[in-house]
Amino acid sequence: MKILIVDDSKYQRYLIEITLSKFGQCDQAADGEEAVERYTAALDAGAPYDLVVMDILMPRLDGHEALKRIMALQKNRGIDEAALCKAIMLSSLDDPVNMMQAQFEDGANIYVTKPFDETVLVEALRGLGLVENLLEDETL
Amino acid sequence: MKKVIANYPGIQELFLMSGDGGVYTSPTAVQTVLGSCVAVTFFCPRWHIGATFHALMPHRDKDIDGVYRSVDSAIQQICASLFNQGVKQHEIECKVFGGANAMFQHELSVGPKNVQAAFEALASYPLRVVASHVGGQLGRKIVFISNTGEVFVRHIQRNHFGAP
Repeated sequence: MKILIVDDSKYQRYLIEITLSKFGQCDQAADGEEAVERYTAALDAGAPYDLVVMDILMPRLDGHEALKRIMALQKNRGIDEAALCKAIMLSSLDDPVNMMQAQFEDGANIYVTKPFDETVLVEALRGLGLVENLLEDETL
Repeated sequence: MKKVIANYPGIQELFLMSGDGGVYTSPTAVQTVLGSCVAVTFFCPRWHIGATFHALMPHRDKDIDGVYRSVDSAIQQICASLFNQGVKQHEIECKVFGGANAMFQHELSVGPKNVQAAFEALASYPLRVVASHVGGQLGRKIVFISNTGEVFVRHIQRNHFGAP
């Protein structure tokens, strides 16, 4: 699994990578614009990221706009809705407006608030089907 | 949910129907299935007390019985119960699930309204939302472990999408 970690805080990127590097190869971007550039380059190389972990408050381009652009990039290249990369918005902002916008407009699948617990991030990976999910897919 | 339960010997199992909810002081694995409905899980790490509900609509309609049928009254009810048991507001960790909008593609879909009602009611206390997994096109099956706060989530494929 290829993971792109986007946060303007080097320390936060380090904390996130400690958890996620157990599950895949992690790259980092320091703001939204760098994230879009990295995602574009990965698409061009035929090896897009499977998961983007995105902060919101960042210089140059914020996480809302960056995630929208990353999702649009994939759709413009004909990638099916079901095959789009997964996205976790990871922010210290915990107000209804940001949480709604991330998940109903930007394309984030999950929203986690900082400071985050490692178990919550792993729970998110499980819920996205990126690591083993103990819940069986039985019909109810 | 057998594989999940196997990791929690002796835990009680409970299937939560829509419009139902409760506070669990002994270890309980609470399962429910959500479409546009919303479930909020509450967990107090100090006392290992958990609570959750499965609500169908954003706001209480006084003509309809059942405090857990609407998101706002369910949150009020559970908070009152937790506070009564000595749990402090700042100790509560919340997670929000559901609110799929698969059935109705237009903006009047009840899924996003249910989620917004949950976020706004929780922010009014304020209670911390540590994670949310909401929206999208597919339903969700969730299992909440009341004494650890863990939540196992799995998307339900479209042909299984029968939950409210």
